[in-house]
Amino acid sequence: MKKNWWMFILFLGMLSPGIFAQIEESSQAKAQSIITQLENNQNPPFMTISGSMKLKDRFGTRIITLDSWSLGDDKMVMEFTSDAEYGQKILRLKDDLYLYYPDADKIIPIRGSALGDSVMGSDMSYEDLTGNKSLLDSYDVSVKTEERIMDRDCWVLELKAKSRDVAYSAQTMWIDKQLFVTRQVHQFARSGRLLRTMKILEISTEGKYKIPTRILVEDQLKRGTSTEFTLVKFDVTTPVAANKFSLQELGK
Amino acid sequence: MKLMKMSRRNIFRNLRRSVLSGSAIAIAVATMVFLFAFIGGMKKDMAQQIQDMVTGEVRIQHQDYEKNENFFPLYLAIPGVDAYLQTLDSRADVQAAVPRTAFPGVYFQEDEQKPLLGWAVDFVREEKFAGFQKHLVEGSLPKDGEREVILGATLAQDLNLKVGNEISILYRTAKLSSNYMSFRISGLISLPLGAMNKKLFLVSRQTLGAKLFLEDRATQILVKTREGQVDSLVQSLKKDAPKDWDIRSWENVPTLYSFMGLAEFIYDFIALFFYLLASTVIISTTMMVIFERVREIGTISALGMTEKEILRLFLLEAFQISVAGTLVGLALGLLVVIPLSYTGIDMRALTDKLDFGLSGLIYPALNFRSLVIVPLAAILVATLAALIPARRSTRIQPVEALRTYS
Repeated sequence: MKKNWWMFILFLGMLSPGIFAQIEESSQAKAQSIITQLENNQNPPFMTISGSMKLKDRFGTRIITLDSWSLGDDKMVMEFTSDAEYGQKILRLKDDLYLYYPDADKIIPIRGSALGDSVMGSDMSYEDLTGNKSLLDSYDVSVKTEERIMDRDCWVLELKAKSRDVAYSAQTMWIDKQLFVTRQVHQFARSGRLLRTMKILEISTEGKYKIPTRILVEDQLKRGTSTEFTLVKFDVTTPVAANKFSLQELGK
Repeated sequence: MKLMKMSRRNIFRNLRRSVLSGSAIAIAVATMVFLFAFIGGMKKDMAQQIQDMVTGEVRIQHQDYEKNENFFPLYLAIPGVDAYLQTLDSRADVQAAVPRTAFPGVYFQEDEQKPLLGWAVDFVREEKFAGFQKHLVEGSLPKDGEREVILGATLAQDLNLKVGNEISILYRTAKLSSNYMSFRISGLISLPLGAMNKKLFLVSRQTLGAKLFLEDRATQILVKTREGQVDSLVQSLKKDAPKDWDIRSWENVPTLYSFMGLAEFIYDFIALFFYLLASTVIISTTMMVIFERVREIGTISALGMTEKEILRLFLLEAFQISVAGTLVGLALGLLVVIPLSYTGIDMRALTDKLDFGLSGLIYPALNFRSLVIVPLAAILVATLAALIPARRSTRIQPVEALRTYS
């Protein structure tokens, strides 16, 4: 009997690496499936939005209003409509970003260290506007645990960058189990330092899409700053013309 | 009178030693005359540059501007500037007043960003203040209402830009937004503060005021007084000004100028050290003279000369050597300083790279310190230094001296 008992333990010991690998694999597969479902939910093929950014910093609070159009994974135009920024535009074409100002004869391509600069003084950088639209292209994902935040049951996903050419080397995402939408994101540097937090405060549903309509972003490297994005209007049904996303169109 | 005659005779008896002692004093005095004239010239130059370019004689700005200065807080610009300038113009104690707004800019050059410093100024008013026209090396001042800019000559050279070219600059506005604007380069300027020419661009306040969301606001009003009535003007302006305005005389604005006082204090110590060093030569030569003249001291002592008279004899010798050395040193110092006070000392290699608040040419300026304090201190220190060996001469006993050295 005693011998059988030891044989059983030995058998379990031989099995355990395989079992853990299988658990790991299933955790990754589950996380990939969650991300896929999340992106299908949140990323319509084209979208027109009108919204605002409420910027809080040591100088006080200011509001920037904007319209934005996006097409596919890698085309986007933002046009600012608030008094101080009126007519200024940001164009994304694949991984290239361009800034247009109506008072200048030149368009500024955003490259190199300028990618780390803040967008209009917000807690977002230009780099946040680039990158692959699918997180699965850039990150290895796994389900870490489950938690209840903001009164919602969420999966907690751990994302680790596959390469060095992404803005954040790791992210932790809280995904709503019921709606398959992001509720909270923490973004980290290579050193493990928390760089930015993002909370989705409100979500609206349009057909099969669930669009975050109020997002709070806080740059953890700055003290006392926050940026609140609010989508006043969004349209995922009217197609956006492809020629809107060109350098020629930017100056018009 | 008899002692004076004896002391002069003794100086010439040991002429080489006397010349050696006098030379040490002369070199120390000449050095200090030059150094104090140089630092006096630096102070004068710095004061002029600060008053023309940085603070005026009186600076008016929002009380919170200074603590946020590194962020260029345009939102703290003071309102109603045009009306206030007219009030200042009507005052008899105001010579000139200008509005100035400094703001940060960026020039994009391929993948690099070059930080710039912009000044929105009133070019017409500035002619009575900083006089930008006289510093133009090429082209003309921007016209009001035209999108024109003048660049620091060194900056234009760095960016490979010329008069007539276009430059686009990204800048921050009073609403904390950014704007990118293209300007035609109307002229190049070379200001006395070399470091400024590497980063400065000047635009008309009338052109850029609305684009900076400033309208009739400016971050600073700088004032120059008539006949230096600075303190009375500050007090008078404070009476009627809004409570959140900070009105200060240029001397109360923390600038590098305050360090010049400290530098002068340090130079005082250096001067004292130099004199003590030179005095060691007097001490040692006097000591040698005393040893050589023990028998003579014994004799004059036996003949009835008192200890005090012997002490005075040696002090008179040292005094005369130090006076002669000081006069020679002063002459040497003046010989160096006077021509340089016309030609100036070229410091551009240093001031173009580092922002000292100094212009490229420093004109040494003779002053009370270099002309009076330095020579008097040299004579005093050298004479007092001779006391140490001179006291020894008074302890020589006549009988012993005559017996030992006979």
